[in-house]
Parts: sequence; structure tokens; C-alpha cells
Amino acid sequence: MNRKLYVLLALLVFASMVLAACGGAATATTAPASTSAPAPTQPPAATATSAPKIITIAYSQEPDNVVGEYSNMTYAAWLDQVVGASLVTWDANNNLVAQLATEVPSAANGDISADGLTITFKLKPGLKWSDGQPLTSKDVLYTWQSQVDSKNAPISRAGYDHISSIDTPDDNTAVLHFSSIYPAWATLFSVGPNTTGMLLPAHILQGQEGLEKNAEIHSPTVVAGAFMIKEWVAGDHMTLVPNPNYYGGQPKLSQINIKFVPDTTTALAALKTGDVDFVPDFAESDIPTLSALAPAQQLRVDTTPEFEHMLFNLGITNSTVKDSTGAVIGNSDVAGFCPFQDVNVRKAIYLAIDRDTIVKTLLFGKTMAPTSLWPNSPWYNSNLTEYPYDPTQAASLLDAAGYKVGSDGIRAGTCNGQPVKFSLGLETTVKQLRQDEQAAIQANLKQVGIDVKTIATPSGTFFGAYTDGANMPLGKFDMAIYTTGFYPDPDPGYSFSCAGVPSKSNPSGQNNYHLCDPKMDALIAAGIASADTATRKTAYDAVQQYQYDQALFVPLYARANVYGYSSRLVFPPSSGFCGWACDMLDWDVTQ
Amino acid sequence: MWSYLVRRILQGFLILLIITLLCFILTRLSSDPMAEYANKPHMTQADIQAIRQRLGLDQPIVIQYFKWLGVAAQGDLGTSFFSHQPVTEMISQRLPLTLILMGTAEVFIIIFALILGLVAAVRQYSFLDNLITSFSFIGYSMPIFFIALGSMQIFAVQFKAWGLPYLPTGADIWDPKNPLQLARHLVLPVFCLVTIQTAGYSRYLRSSILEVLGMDYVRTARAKGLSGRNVLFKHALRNAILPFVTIVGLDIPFLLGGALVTESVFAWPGMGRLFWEYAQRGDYPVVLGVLLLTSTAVVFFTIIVDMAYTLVDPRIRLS
Repeated sequence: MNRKLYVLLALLVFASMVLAACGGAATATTAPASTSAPAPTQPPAATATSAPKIITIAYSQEPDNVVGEYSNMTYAAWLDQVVGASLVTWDANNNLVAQLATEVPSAANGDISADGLTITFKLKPGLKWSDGQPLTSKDVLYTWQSQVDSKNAPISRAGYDHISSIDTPDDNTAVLHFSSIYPAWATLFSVGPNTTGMLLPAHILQGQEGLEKNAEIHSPTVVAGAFMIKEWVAGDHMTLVPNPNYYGGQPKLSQINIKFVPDTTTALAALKTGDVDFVPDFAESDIPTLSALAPAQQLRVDTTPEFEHMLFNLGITNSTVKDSTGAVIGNSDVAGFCPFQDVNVRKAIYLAIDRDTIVKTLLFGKTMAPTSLWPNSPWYNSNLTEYPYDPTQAASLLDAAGYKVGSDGIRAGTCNGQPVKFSLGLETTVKQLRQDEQAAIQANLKQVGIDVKTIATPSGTFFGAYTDGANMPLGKFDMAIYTTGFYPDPDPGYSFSCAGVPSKSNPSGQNNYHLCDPKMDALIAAGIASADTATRKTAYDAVQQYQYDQALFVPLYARANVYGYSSRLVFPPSSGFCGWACDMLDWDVTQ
Repeated sequence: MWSYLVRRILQGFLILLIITLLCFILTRLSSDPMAEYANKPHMTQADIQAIRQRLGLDQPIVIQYFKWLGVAAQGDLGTSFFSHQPVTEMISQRLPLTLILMGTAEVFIIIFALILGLVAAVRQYSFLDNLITSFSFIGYSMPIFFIALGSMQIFAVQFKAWGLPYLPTGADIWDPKNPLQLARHLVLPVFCLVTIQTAGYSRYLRSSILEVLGMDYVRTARAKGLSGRNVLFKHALRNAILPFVTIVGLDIPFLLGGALVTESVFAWPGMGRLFWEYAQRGDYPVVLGVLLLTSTAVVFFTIIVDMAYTLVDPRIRLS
């Protein structure tokens, strides 16, 4: 018996050794064999004489298309930012800066007309596409034409449909004529978070229809950004190499590999082994794990202009709101929890939630609890005072509103003559962090006599379409948690307006608050009435003040981008607006 | 024979129809392709409505299904809602590596199952049998993601930390056309698949061999003075392996579907990941394309196995 046992143990040890022997010694990332290089130009001289500087980035999702105009994926936007270029972009401090343009148009430099309807872009001289062809104002014109052409199906035509014509008096000048003021003009020809805006090469795409199915949209061979695509092995990886004709000079890296790694645990393991150098999409819950990896691997947390918030269902069944002329401006067929119509009830809930503790415990103190829309942004109204965590004041407000704590510890009363009980659902997606937030809020509200039932719903059912019976547009919730953000342009669109309230007659409405408030409409309208930044800032300050006073939602925390990277990687600061991939010229490796 | 074949093929089409209908309904109910456009301030309601119309999602679900079916019946699996790539092309890009992974694993599974099943049966109730049984149950009951992540942690992360030669996590850049790199990257995923699936096969084979070893003709063969080896390999194993071959034959079509968890953990660019990634986004042309491929293979192989019975077992007649 013993002999057999020894033989078996020996076999197990042998098997382990065979497994290990199949492994290689620790090596740097190797360049893959090229299988589908799109025959670009010569390799960059700057990197030809030194050892190749190659990094591997792990993406947890594979982009569907690289050209952002035809994708809604964050992963596509990141690629778009690396290989694409446009007229303007955002720097590390969220300032709008020129990219292919010589300067940012403004009223002061005369490039924005007095009526705000004509905006002139002047392109830098001598610009070239990666294939060496000149990049001119004709490409700006073509990009707009392709966006509004009904034969193409871009993700969004928003803003482009405000342009009535573009004049190109010479190769370096594009004059945009707007049919009405479009304050977010900067997003139309910019590479940034909004995915649209990358310039398209007219000499490659002109005359083609159905661009959404075009191979040059899926994986462009001719680009204007710092890097270009050398290879895309579907489902596995992409290889990017420097664009020799990039206007901004040559990047320090000689190759970027993008590996599609769907499991973040694998990405973390690969970061530890050196198989990958950069992982851009860790979750906030990974912060302690990544912190423990120093000094071999590094953690960086950048707060963003997006924020997690808890919203109230403010719908009123079969309600119709009319403006001063009597015209219907919105209607709702959703029944929210009646006491939420009382601002003091909303304020009480706001005061009862310990947001700082949520930030400290669930977000490890790496972000902040904002007071309004637009955190980490020049549009943020910093004059607003934090709502304190004050359960005593919260209880007083609820008492004063007529909702007393019953024998079961839960508040109850009457609202519009109907009995109501503060036994409420708090719904969100199945993400673990959100479920932790639910638990924290549940405990907070219990202290003031509000019973919270936590509900976790798959995002498709939570966010989906009205016509498919999704919970948000149909208002099948009492309170909900999700992330939103309005940047780089601050216009919240229809998210708060009467015209955005989803209903049978308006199934594509995006106002999940189900709030129709003419005053809010007027404030938001003031924000888009001018192309002047200072005027808009005043208008949006007023929007934030009103939402704050009305406690329309509870901002929980500014979302954070959590990056893990190897210590050999030089990872310069990046813009919260634009993201880590907007400027990779100065990325480098030290060994 | 021919009428049987025609009947089975017609049944097969009916089954495929039902499978696609069920999968379509489940996919549409569980995920909404429009969900990822929700809460995107840079998109207007008109943009969202235009996308719904272009994808045909504004039409009743029954119409959506029959439209897809009509195109699929002509051999076109349609195009992805999101990448706009033909589904057949997307599948053809992923299928080869899935077949390499699953095929390699299947070969090792069969070899190990044969060895372990045989040893366990011949040495019934011995220490070795008990050990194999114990490991089989452990392997069978262990979640594959646990084995996958655990083996990666040991043979990739810890081995590297200890300064030993280590295996890749799968997240590195490698060339599948290079046999050595392919072999290195196959080790861990194949190890996981083999650990999980060998257990079931070996248990099945053990029972089958034990049943045959108890048959009268085996006792007769032993009584005639044949050696134990001859009895086992020439008489018992040949008969015991028949149901095992059937099971393996029926499992082969599932190789096309890939291994969702293993492929995801080891970043293996296969069919399982393709299915999962696009199912999450509600991209039903891709989801149904993958399902139709595997379902067709299952139906096809079932017919082949049934036909093969008549060749290997003279007691079975199709009539």
C-alpha cells in the first residue's frame, strides 16, 4: 500500500513539474507575428535605433468598431482616442485645447460669430493622414456629410444636424454654419469621451454608402492619430504602431498591444506576471487589492465627471403639465411614491444617508461625495454647501411632514388622502458595489423609520426600453441607484426635461426621474441658449442650485477610474473628460 | 433505411426550429440590445428611435423572429447588431481555436478516462479505486472557474514569484501558429477541462466495465483458461466501451460551442466567449448563429450515432 502511495505522489509531483516545465522563463512581452498589417508607411525613425518599447494593455471587452461615430462602446472610444484625431480635444486639466486646429474658436479670436451661428476652424498647416495624403478642410466637410447622410447609420447625428453647411475656402479653413445655436459645438469635431468627432478620410471613404458596414469604419487603415492599427486578430488582440505622419511628433512607445481579457481576475494575474502592463477598467472594489501590489505594480485612481446617485421616482399617474400658454409640455403615466412630491421628504432622505461613510468604506476614501451634477468639472457649482449626514433633522422633517413612526418602526401617514407607508424598494443593477450601497442606505434609512427593500435587476431589465417593459423608463421603482454624467458638454439633454418623460406617447424618453417641472425646463433651456461659456456657467449654476434646493436626487459619489499598471510604465496624468487614452505621446517604459 | 433517414432529418429540422424559437425568446427576454444606449446624454431620443428602427426592434417580436429565420433559411446568419460584421465571418474567426482547445482536451479526457476507469474497475474497492473515486468526485463537483483561477494562481503567478518557469495567464500576446506557443497556452485550459470532464467519463466507464466483467461470457472466458489481460482487453473492454463511445460521440458537437468559463478565464478567443460577450449585449443574430451551429451539429451527430449503431451492433435494425 505504501509503495503505491509513493508512486502516486511521485506521479503528482512529476505532473506538476511537467506543467511547470511547459512554462517559459520570465520574459518581456513579445511582439506578435503580423497577419493582417494594412500596409502602412515606413516604421518611425525615432524608435528604429533603440530597443522596442512595447506595452500590453488588457481590455475586458473587444470593441465592435474602432471609429467612434459608429460605436457606443467605451472600449471603442478609447481606441478612437489613440488612433483618431480631430480639431479640438481636452487636456489633463479638462480644458478645451486645439488638436489639429491652430486654436480653439472663440468670440475673442473672432472664430465664433456674434450670433454664435458661424464657427471657423483653422487647421494646422501640413497635416497628413497616416498614408501620407494631405489632411485638409475637405475631410472636415466629409466627416459632417457622412454623419448627416441618410445612407449611413451613425450612432448619433445630434449636433451635426444643427449644421446647415460647411464652407472650405481653402485647405486649412473650415467654416461651420449652424441653423441654430449649438452650444456643444466642441464635441462635434473632437476626440473625447463622447465617441463621435474623429475626422474621417475623405480620400478613402468619399462616395461610399452604408459606412456602418464598411471595413474602414470597423478597423481603419488610414488614421490621423498618434498610433495606427497594424493588426486586429478578432477575439484576441490588436497591435498598434506609431503613425509616422502624426502632427504631434513620434510617441515614445514603439508598439501597443491591446489584449482582450474578459475576466478582470485574469487581468490582475497577468498584471502580476508582467503579461500585461496596464489595465484601465478595474472596479472601485479592486482598490485594496491593487494597493497591496506596490511597488511591483501601481494603482492610480482618477475621479471622473460621472457620479453615482440615488433618484426618486417623481412620476404622477396620468398627469399632464401645461406651460403658461396652455400647451401640453409633458405627461406621465407613472405612479411614484406620493410623499416624494414633498420636497421635505426628499430632503429628509438626503440628510439620512451617510454619504461620507459610503465613500470611506466602499470607495476607500478615493473619491468624494458631490453636491450636484458635473463633479470634477469646470461646470460644477462649488458654492453649494454639503447636505450633512443628520438623521435627527431628517426624522424631524418627516415628522413635520406628517409621517410618524408606527409600532412596527416604519413611518406611515396619508398623502393626497390616501394611506401610505414608508416601505420602499431601492433598485439597482446586479453590480456588487451597488448592492453594498443598497445595504448601507437600507441601514441609514432604517434609523429614520424608512423600511427599504433592496432589489437587484440585470441592467437590460433595469435600463432597457419602455416598449420592452424595462423598469427605469416605465417607472417600476420607488428609488433607484445608477451612474450618470454630463460631459464634456454640460447639457443634460432630455434627462430632466418634460419632453424627456417616458410615457406611452413618448416611449423613447430618457427622463428616468419622471419629473416634469416647467421651472427646470426653463433653467435647462437657458443653458443651451448661448454659445458663450460664461453665460452658460451662470445658467448651469442655477440648474444645480434648483436641483439642490429641491433635493431631486441624492448624489452618492463621483465615479472613479481605477487603473492598475506595471512599475516600468510611465503613465502621465490624463483628463477626466477625455480619458487615459487621449494623449499617449508621453507614455513610456523605463526598462 | 432511407425512409428512416428522411424521417430523422425532418425531425431534425423541426427540433432546430423549436430550439431557435426558444433561444430567440430567451435572448430577447433576458437582454435588450437597446439597453446600452440608455442613459447616454450625447444621444437624442431621435437617435435611439432610429437605431431601434434600423435593427428592426420596433417590430413585434414574432416578426423579428421570422425575419431572422427567413434570412437564416437562406444560409445567411445575418450581421451583428453592434459590430455589423457577418455572423458567419465572426464564427469562422473563432471556430478554429475553439476546436484546437476542445479537441485537445477531449483527446486527453478520453485517454485519462480510459486509464482511470479501467484501473478503478479492475482494482475494484482497492486503495487505488477509492483514490480515483475520490479525485473523480472532487473534480466533478468543483466549479471550473475555481480550478481555472486556482491553477493560474499557482502555475503562472506563484511560480513566477518563486522564480520558477511559469505558464502564461493567457493574457499575453502570442501567436497560435507557433506550435510551441500554442502548446504552452493550451496547458492550463486543457488541464482544467480535463480535470472536470475526466471525472464523469471515468466513473461511467468504471461502471460499464464492472457490469461486463460480471457477465457470463467473461466468466466462461476465464474458465477456459484465458489470461486476465486477454479477458479484459479482448472480451470485456470491447463491449464495455460501446456505450462510452456513444456518449463521446454525442458530446463531440458540443466541442463547437467552446467552453465559456475556461475561454473567458484564459482569454482564449473561442466560440464560448463569442457567445457570452454578444449574449450580454442582446445581439441575437450572433447568439442564434452560434446556437444554430451547435444545435445543427447535435442533431447531425445524433443521426450519425444512431446510424452507426446498426454497423457496430447487429442486434439493432433501423426498421
